[in-house]
Amino acid sequence: MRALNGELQMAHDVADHSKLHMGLPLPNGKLALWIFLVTEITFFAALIGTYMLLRNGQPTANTPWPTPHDVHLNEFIGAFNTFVLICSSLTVVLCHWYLHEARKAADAGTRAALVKKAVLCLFTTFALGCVFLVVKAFEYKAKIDHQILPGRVFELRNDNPQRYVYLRTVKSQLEHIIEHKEVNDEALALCKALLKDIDEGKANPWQINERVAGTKYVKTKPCDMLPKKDNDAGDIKGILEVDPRAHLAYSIPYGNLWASSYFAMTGFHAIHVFGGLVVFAIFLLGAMFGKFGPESELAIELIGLYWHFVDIVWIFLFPLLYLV
Amino acid sequence: MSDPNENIAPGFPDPRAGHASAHPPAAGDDHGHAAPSFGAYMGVFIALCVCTALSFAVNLLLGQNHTSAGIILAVAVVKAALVAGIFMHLKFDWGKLYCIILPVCVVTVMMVIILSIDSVLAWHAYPESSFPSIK
Repeated sequence: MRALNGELQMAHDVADHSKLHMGLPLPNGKLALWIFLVTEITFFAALIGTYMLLRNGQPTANTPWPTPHDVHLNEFIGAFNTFVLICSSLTVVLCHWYLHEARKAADAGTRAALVKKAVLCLFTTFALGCVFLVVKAFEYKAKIDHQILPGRVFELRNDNPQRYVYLRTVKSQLEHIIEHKEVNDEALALCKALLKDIDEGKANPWQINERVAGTKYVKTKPCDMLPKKDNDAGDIKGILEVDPRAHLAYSIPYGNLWASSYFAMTGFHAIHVFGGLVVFAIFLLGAMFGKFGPESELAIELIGLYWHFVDIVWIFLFPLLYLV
Repeated sequence: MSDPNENIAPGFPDPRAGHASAHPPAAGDDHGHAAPSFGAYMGVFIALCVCTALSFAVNLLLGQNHTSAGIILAVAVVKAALVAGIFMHLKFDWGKLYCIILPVCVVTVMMVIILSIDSVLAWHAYPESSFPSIK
């Protein structure tokens, strides 16, 4: 019996009567990586499927799923990250292409030049991957700053005791804003008025939410979010509408579910990106010590396959989280 | 002695040819039957950029609704197909790999169908709202 890659050979050839042959006409590494990638497909399919179920299962006429603006999500940054990953996919495939050409090269000089270009492509891939993670870090920071984390998002409902935590949180945020004068004058005046009403017990959590976010925002989340008004005042301009820089919490219905989905999906994706970057770093170290050349073609093809998969996952995550 | 190629399908490299290179023989040269060119890679890259810009523009112009969602997700599928087909060489390796990839895709579609049942049940639990989250 013989394995097709010729790596194992029996001492004697056995007359093999069957026409069956072992394995696929692929390098072992490539086959193994594809098997790994299909398991990763199931992994991300589970995460995305859960997100679809959570999102589609909401009674959204009354309490819609948070819009990107509600949760401080910037579509442009998402699009930029998509572009970065697409570029990195291109550079890794070009790295493989240069190595392929280097193997076919006739003379050592051409070969060396092509390998040098391949290393440059590899380095660009690594750098673009790092850019992706840095941009992601900035996005995460924005979420953390606004307390949009699983279990930390305020969702005011009629009987939710969280509303008292919300009241206290907004009170301390207002005190901070007034002390540090972080907003423009009009917003500062509104903050002072709101703080005065909170201290005097004249504002309930829903009224506070409306004064922070504005009546226009509250009306987009009709159901439980309608504040308990004594009189029918007109539309209130929220502090955040006057100055969006104010760090004030407001109620985001289904914000916690959103945050869980967002961090689960993008977090696992970022971990996969990081894993790919570790492998790229190992190759780059090898290149520094002269251990990178046309013989690395298969290895680069394999890490390229992994990297393309990571890119494909992001190609689906970006529209699902940012656009749709 | 039997013909060394007797049990090897056409197109398989002869395992007894020895290690001509450091690789198993199917690497690199196996793309002799087909491999994307430099131009093909650049073309796909430009197509991907155009698709991304298109998705972003559709979202900007049409907002969040069923139509834009349909267009954007269709574009996403096209982008994934381009990356998988050309960058990952699936267009050339499909005959060797479909046995592994196709069942997983089938199972994924099955998952979507099963989850749809849960979604529809959730809608019926709230009769005052009947549409999914994209307004």
